[in-house]
Amino acid sequence: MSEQLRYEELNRVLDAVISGSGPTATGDVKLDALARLASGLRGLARPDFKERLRRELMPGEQPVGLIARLRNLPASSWLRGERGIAAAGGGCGLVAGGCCVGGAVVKVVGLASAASIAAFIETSIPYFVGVSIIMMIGMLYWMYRSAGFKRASLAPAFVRVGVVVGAGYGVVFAATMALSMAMGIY
Amino acid sequence: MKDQPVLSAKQLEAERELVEASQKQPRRFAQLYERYFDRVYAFALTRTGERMAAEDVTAETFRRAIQNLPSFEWRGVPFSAWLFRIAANAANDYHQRASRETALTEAMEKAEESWETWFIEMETRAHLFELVERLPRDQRQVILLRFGEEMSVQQTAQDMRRSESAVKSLQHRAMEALRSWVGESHE
Repeated sequence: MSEQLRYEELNRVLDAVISGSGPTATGDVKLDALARLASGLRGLARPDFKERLRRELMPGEQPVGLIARLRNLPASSWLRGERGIAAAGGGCGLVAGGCCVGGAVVKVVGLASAASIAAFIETSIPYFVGVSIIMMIGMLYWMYRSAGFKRASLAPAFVRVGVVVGAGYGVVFAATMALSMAMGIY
Repeated sequence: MKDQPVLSAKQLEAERELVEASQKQPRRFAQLYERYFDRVYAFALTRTGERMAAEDVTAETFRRAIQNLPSFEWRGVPFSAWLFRIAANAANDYHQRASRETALTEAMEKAEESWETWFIEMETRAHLFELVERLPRDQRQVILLRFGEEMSVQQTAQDMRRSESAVKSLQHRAMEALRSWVGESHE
């Protein structure tokens, strides 16, 4: 049985278990074992029930300390839930500020004067930003492809993804510019 | 199936300290809640046979536990023994309410099966629910959405922003991982 066929067959069996009609024998020993296992998972607690009950039971359970409070902000939970996307946004931000970081390294090593580095950054920054934007478009295309080119799959999370990517990009790009300003090369 | 975990003297002492800390600071109860949620829920699901009832019984169990925690006296047995006694009472109350409102349900007939049968079923469930927590994030999410939220593959794919074939592949890997872990605990 090919892998794809096995995924389909397991899915059919799981659908039957979840709907309550019970596991159906497939004749495949491994699949039947997975079906029996699935019967034990039926009725698995909903994650939101566990969280809701926890909040009801321990309403005063407040996060302690600044870091815990920051972690509890809605924006932080978005970033935590989309770490990969935030990192990708940050990576694009690093590419955008690549000339600033590169300039800072060149200045530290002493390969060029501050004025010539500043001139390089001034002229090259639009190209770096352009490349980073192309990378972000590529990333969005990849996500669209992962969702099977279905707009409906991507639309509900578009704002969330946009905010996370934008935040990652903005923070890293701003940090690279702040670094070059602090070193007097931009 | 893994044997019923028996707490060592050291673990029992740590549990006693945690229970006493929770009596002084209710915030510490969160640790007990995390430790026993899956087992209490599995117990409730096995006794009632349906999700909504299991949620009712689980919620009632923890409510009563918090309410009675100040009067709890440590007698050298695991905290879970006390918690399961509360859960059993909550399940009995649920069955009494249900029998007043409806005819005898399949779940009630099940409750009269042999103690060993449903204890094994409950332990199997609790162990599986705990193993789900060990799955990699994407695989865990698929299992939670499929079995917890009872979503179809299509809905799961939309929620996770993945293709349906990717969800089916994750689902297969998750089930295989669970099977191998359950197999390990049998050995």
